[in-house]
Amino acid sequence: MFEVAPPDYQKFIVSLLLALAVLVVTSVLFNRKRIFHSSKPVFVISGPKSSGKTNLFELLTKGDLPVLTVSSVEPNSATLNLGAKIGSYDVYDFPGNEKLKSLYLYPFLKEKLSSVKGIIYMIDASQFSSEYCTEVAQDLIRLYEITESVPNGVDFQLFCNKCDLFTSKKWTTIKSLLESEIAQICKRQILNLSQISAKDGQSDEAIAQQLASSFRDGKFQFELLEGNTEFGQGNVHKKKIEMVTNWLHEKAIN
Amino acid sequence: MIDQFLIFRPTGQVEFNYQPGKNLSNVVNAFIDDVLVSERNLKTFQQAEKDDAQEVQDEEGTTVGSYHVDKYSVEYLSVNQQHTKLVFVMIHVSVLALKSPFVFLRKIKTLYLNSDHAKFEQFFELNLKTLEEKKEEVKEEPKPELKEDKKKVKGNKKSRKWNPDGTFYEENEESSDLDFSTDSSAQNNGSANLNQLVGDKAHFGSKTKTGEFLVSDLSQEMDKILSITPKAKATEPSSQPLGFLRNIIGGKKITKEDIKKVKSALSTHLIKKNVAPDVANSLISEIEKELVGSTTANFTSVQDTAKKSLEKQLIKLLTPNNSIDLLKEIQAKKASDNLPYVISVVGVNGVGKSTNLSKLAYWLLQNNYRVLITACDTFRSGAVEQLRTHVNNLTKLSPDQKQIELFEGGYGGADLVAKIATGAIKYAKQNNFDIVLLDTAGRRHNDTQLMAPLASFAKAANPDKIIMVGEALVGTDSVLQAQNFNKAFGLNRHLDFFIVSKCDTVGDLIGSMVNLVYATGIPILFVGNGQTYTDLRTLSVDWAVSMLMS
Repeated sequence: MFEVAPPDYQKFIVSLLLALAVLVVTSVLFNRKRIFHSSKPVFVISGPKSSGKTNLFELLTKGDLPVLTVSSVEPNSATLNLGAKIGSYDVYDFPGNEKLKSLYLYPFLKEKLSSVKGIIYMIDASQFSSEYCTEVAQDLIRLYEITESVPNGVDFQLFCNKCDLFTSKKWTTIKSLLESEIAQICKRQILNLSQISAKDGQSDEAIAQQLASSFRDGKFQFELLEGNTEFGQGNVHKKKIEMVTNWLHEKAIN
Repeated sequence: MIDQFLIFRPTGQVEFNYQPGKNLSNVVNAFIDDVLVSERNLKTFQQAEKDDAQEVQDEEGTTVGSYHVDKYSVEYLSVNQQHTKLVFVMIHVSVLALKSPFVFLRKIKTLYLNSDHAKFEQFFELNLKTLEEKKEEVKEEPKPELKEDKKKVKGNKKSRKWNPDGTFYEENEESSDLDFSTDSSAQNNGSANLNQLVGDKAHFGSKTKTGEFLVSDLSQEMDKILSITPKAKATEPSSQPLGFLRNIIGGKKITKEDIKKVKSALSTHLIKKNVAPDVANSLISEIEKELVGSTTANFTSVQDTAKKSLEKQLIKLLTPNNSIDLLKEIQAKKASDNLPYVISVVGVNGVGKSTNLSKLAYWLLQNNYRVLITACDTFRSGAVEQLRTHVNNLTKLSPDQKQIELFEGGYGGADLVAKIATGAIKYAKQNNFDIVLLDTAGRRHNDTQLMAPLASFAKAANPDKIIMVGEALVGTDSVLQAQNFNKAFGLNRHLDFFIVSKCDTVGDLIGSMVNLVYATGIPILFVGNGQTYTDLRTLSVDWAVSMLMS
């Protein structure tokens, strides 16, 4: 009496496939930004205020300097084409203001660290006073804390801008000054009060250890970091940035 | 007249720069740091409502304001719309008061957005002239009519035309052919002002650099652009196909209405976290400014977008502008042989000044500094004894018994306080103490009689750091507390940072931190989270923001 109709397998499979296809298409549609952009490797430009970050960014991506620059409030981003063989990369230029760094730069690095190919850190060599040195050192420690958390770290180029002015310091001087300053700050950090967090005594010690491996005989050395840190010099305003472009090419190939 | 006029993008590139003198980049950058990055507009509720009523006439996504630094004034207009983010900045000497600078800025904005670069430069120059001549405007106004009358009288005279070599010939033509000014003013009555002002063509030269436009043509064109009133966007999101879906899948353009719906939810969230209502509303109006006109990201609703923006605002607010490293400063002072380093603690009664002072002392003792604790609370009975107990405890806890001492001067009037403070610093110098910690009497921030001695105290002791201790427990009142204490030390002295005490008692309701920072712009350095000497921590912005957003 109740005759069961033979199950129509073909129809079933077709409808299943259709449903799957719709799912795939919609998810690709809505996530197209994420899917097509995530794989692109990224270079980051950072550094203290008015060290010439935006100028370098414009020079790299547009090939020319802007009329004038003022302090950036938002990050810049553009695609940098390094030639047909090497391919294109994203370049981000982050504002140097302390508040804006914790708003844009640090979250960005934490999120996209795996795709960051390298960081160009701009230093104004013409005004490298002891306060400036402390500022840069603190900033670098903050960055290293993030970048050294992955195996092999992230490569840095510390680019000494305006190196040809007679008031500016040589990159070798800057390097040794920075090394001793970083060592001092690390020593102080151990003495300082720890940061408040939900679970007390969390990540602070781990960070101290990360940088601790780059100390030899109580001295901090850039060479001992996981990531490669190189120094470069030039003058963005005079379009002397061969060292940056060479470094970019080298990092892009590797 | 104007010292510099800049149009720049928030990403830092300058699009247009008018600069008759030197480049005032430090003024611009100070303006950017203070206004665009860390602006805090604390408005009371009534003020906010009034402003809301006034702002209606302004276009969506534009804000205007002014700012003063050194001897310069900055007037600015920022456009924050979906595809155009620009800031227009005008810098001039403060002494000079410009007539209606914002009208000028708005005009420039419309011109800039609606013309190409070469033309804009000419427009700008033209407008600049009008701005500079504005003061004489009233006198000049009757002139054109007189001219017209004269021309009519002269109508049947022979007109002269000059040859390039200086000779002239006369014609019997009607002079009206040459009279450009009359018909142009007849055409656009609404904005005729400009044409009248441009009347004096001799100053201009009749041709521009490119030689393409006569000035009268240029001003006509300019008027045309200006007279196009920005139309309200006709496409309502709801009228779009599948507009309702945009709420869920994102890509929706945020309007003022949308924000209004989210507004109350966000402000109650903040107020529940112990943020003062005025502060909460001011924070949210910042968010409104940022969001109106932008579109939501994929798969986020307006509410989520607003929440994210609030989180950003909080991070921006709580992150200090320059990091303070107390140990470094002490070391530097020690290196220059200029000790003692003097730290003074102020605050309302019962917030934990003495307790947090002892915590600081404990930390400094662990770092092998010699600390002199000074009892400057000469009012409350038992204040000195309380400190003595702390000092006795700390002596036992410190590695070297002679590391810490108490300096006291008994009880008495307000003038005694300054005397004790200077005495303590002198004593510290003689006995090689590294750090002097001054404990002051608690005082109500709205009692002028009690607050007045703080100025003389700050002058006499001249502490390296003045710290205000604020409770996490206190709510709305913390705004006034912070403001009044910040003002109490005279014109050139401010608080250096806050210690927020009793954080362990409030759970995640740490809105007082937001109040303190928003009211003054001074950072929080330490947080007290317990009752033992080791319960002092530095503030972690991530921690605070996640607590506030939870």
